[in-house]
Amino acid sequence: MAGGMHFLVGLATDDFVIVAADKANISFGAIIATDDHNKEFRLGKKLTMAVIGEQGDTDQFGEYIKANVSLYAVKNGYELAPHCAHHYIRLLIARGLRSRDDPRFVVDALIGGYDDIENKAYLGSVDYLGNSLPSQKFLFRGFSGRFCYSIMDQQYKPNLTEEEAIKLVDKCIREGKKRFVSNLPGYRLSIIDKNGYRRLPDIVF
Amino acid sequence: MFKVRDESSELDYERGGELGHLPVENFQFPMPPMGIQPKEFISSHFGPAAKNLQFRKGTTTLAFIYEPATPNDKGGIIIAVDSRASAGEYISSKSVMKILDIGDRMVATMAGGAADCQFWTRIVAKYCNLHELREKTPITVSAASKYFANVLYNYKDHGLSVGSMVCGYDKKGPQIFIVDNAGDRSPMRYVSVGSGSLNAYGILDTNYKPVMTDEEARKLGRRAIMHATYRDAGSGGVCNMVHITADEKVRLPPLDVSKLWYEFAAEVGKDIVYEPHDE
Repeated sequence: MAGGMHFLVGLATDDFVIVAADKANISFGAIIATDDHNKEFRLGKKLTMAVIGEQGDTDQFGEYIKANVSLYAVKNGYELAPHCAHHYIRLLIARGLRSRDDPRFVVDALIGGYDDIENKAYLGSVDYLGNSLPSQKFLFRGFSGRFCYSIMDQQYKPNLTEEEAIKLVDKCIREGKKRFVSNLPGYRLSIIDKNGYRRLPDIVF
Repeated sequence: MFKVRDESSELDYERGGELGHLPVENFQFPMPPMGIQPKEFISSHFGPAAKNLQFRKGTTTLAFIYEPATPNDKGGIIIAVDSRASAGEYISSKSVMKILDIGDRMVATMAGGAADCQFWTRIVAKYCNLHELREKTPITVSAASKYFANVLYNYKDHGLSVGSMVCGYDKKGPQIFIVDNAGDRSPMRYVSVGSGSLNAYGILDTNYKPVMTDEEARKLGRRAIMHATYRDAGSGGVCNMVHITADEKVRLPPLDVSKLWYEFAAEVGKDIVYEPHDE
């Protein structure tokens, strides 16, 4: 996994998708350089992406994707649907792995969005090897996720309300805090539903 | 009628034929990088195993932004650094200036390989000057540091060693960006870089306040560098400091850190005189 000690959480029902990303900026694998680092890139009105990995890679990767997805919207007059953006992001990583000239990004990403055509929230992930998981109910990136899939397997329901979903995400983050060695200072949360994108209150300990 | 004749089979190569007819089948000009892989080259010539040459590094640098506490104070950015350059375990210089100018209101600090920092800082300074000439407005710290980070990202995994704080005052106010050879770039309020940074962070984390007097701020900068040089073998020499305010950039005189140690000890009333005695 490319994320090292970082942690991303994604949870989707049919109505909304929540994406949470830790706020740590870790240098030398041991020092918290900042505790308010933003790992999220807004790709559209109802589309967002959270990226973990080495900061050099995540920043270049995130901004490149953001610029190209925005360019697509400007060129065509409509935004990429979430699953299309997901496909494009995977393609970029896969192409980088197989090309001498294209940049190789060692990053893991979650893509969350709301599809206005299918009227459904969307959650997907891409890792640095080009594996993609489209249309998932919940996803984690980073080591702490290993503690949390069981929690979601047990407690996820397709008809979760927004409050219940936030509580569930919070539960997973706290499990990561409890069991994983690294002290991640806080989490940035955002939600996307049919009305658009919103920030939720950060989770801090 | 023009006739094409192939004499190559008729020439006697052993005795050396005409120069113009030498066989050119397997000839190759050596082209860059001529078999040199930068990363391996650097690790074998300057890495820990290299006996005679080591990169000049080992540093404490710090910078922080603060607001003025009284109307008499100016606030702004304090940049404080040590002055030691080491090549392996050898102290190759005790008086290096690790605060490099980028423009009138901007500096970059130097940590990591001295050569890489000095060279690339000059490239950034050139870019900033050209930007100002072209656009008729000074470049922002954000843009300068982004150019720096992009350059370093392009050379990622090629063995560069750079850890730099780009600090300055622009239309958005005081700004610090930390940039390194991994391609990282982050905005910071207070930050330290180098082998002594952990020690400096200890002092900064406990004593930094967002609002300070100029006197307090300069003292904090010196104090953090002094404590870092005291504990870190890679840092030492003098403490150089630059204070950037809204209207000027002041280079403060270098102060010997070993003198600072006694000064601060006297201030806190600590008895540091070593008295040997028999058990």
